[in-house]
Amino acid sequence: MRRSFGEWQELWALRDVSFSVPAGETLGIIGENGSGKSTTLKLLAGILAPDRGSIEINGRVSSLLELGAGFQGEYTGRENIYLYGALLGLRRRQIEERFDDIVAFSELGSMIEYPVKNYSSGMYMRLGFAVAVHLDPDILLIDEVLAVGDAHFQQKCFEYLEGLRAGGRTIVLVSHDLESVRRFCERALWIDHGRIAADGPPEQTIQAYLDATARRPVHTPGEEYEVPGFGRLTGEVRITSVRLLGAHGETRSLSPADALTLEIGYASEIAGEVGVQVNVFRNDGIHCTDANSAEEGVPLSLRRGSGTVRLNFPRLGLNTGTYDISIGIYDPAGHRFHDFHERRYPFTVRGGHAVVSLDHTWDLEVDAGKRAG
Amino acid sequence: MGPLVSQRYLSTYRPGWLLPIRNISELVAHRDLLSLLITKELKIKYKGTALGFMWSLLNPLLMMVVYSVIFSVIARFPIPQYPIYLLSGLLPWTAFAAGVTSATLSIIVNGHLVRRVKFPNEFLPITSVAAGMVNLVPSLAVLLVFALAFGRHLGWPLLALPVLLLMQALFTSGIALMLSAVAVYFRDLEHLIGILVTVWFFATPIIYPLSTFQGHKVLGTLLLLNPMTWLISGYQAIWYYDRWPDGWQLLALGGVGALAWVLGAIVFGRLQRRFAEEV
Repeated sequence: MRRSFGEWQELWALRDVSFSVPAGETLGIIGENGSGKSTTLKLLAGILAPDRGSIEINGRVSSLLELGAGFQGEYTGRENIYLYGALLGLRRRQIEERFDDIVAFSELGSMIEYPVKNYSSGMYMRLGFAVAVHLDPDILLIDEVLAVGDAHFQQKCFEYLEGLRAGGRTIVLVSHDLESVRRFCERALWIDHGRIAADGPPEQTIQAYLDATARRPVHTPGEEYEVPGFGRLTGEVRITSVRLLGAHGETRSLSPADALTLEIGYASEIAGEVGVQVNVFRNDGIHCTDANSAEEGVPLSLRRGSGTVRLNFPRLGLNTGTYDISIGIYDPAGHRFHDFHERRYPFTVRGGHAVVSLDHTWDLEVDAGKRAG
Repeated sequence: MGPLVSQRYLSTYRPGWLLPIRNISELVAHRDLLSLLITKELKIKYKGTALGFMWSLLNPLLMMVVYSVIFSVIARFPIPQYPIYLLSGLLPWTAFAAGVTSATLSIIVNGHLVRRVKFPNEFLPITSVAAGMVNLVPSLAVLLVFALAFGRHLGWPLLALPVLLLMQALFTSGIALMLSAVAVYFRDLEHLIGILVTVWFFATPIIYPLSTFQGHKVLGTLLLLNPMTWLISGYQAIWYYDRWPDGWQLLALGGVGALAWVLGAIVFGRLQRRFAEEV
């Protein structure tokens, strides 16, 4: 796939990418934004045509590139089900057979008779998913769409996909959510700058991806970078290395009960007090926790030269998901950042179902009184 | 467990020339889509209007009143019962012009679909043409009422009407396929199409009789080489002159229509490969 800018500059969105997916396999595709994941999926869906090479698809494809993509705002949910089904190549009769299942799955009830322009984004999304998966495709292509929606519906979607997989359907899932790829896929493909960087069991591919992300050089000196609201970085103190340490050394895969130490290497051109700020985000954007040395009243006085700051979480507490860490070193007096690494350090957690596992204890107290019997 | 997928869905995407109509099986699989798209086009067009579908009747009537006043009161043509002559050409022209104009935009305005769902994109311009043709039928009923009210004699030549409609659909959709695909890459067409259609309108004997340019060598010849002249003359023959349409003209129209279709299909097939990137 090639895109031309102007008359002479070329950009290959994908090059020398070759892979085959046997019927019944569940393939996950991971990679950074703009790496070519979505282009791959659009090629598989037949929406884009390759400039070189060829693609063979054996089976009926249904794609969820964007939930509710074909919906007509003025149309009711019912009318849209028929229109969308027809867009995907179903006969009217086939849609009629599935209609009740689609409505039941979408949990829309009588809202199905109202124009979709009046739907909430959640309702819109539920209907989109319900239609696409109920059209009985041989091959299902999913782009990121599972990242949205409430936890209950997300769970329901995954259960349904599990069912499709058990039924021998082929599923290709593009996701930023490494944990769902690990959990759901039998094989994972990492696409980096339009080429396949790794192809194999999800565990291996994800590890390779995380390792590479960790090794990647961060801001090159002199690079202009602004922290929103704080202006340019001073560069007087630079973050030179970051390691995530578990109980057994460096790791990117953790459990909720694990201890985590964040080891931040720095190089400083100044002597004086700095603040260090660490933010942990889940990949759906939720800001899970933060630590801020100056606000917590912990003075960190640097000398010229290099050193290491360690932040210890005795018990991580975060549950299943993919997370990312931002680290900033700032001047507590001057309202400006020396260096800032925005969401540079991803890690995954496996275990637990809710958002966090809080430390807790149980107690039982039996009231003194008449004994039964 | 047996194989779940069937060979009939095997599709291969390769670079290079695609078949004009790329995948017949895909068109067949989507056969219910076309009627849904046409219904949608018609529904959305009159959505929220008080008179709804009545507009497809009112529009040509109002135009007839305007043109009749201008051309039988202000500038006189030697045509008795001018409104019937005018309507018999104006109605099919309106269907043609509306179809071609809305088809030109059809891929662009449906970009949200083209980018995200794989379906036969050629259905979009075809839908525009079909919607124009569907609007034509009730307006022809109005013409019938008027013709009878004016005391015109209508006879056997009316039987040629389906042939004319078919020829019109063929010719219009060929042009629509071509324009809709080209407009994706050449956006200026969006603005150009209005003036092109207007020029074509005046180059076709709709408001004036064919005889107007008989003495003029160049214009007279050009007029006779215009396929829309052949089509419109056919309609005028059966509604106004109570004659059979000219056989040679019909044959030529069929030929040009088929040619437009083949060309349109090739151009469309060639250009649609990048629709999802360009719209």
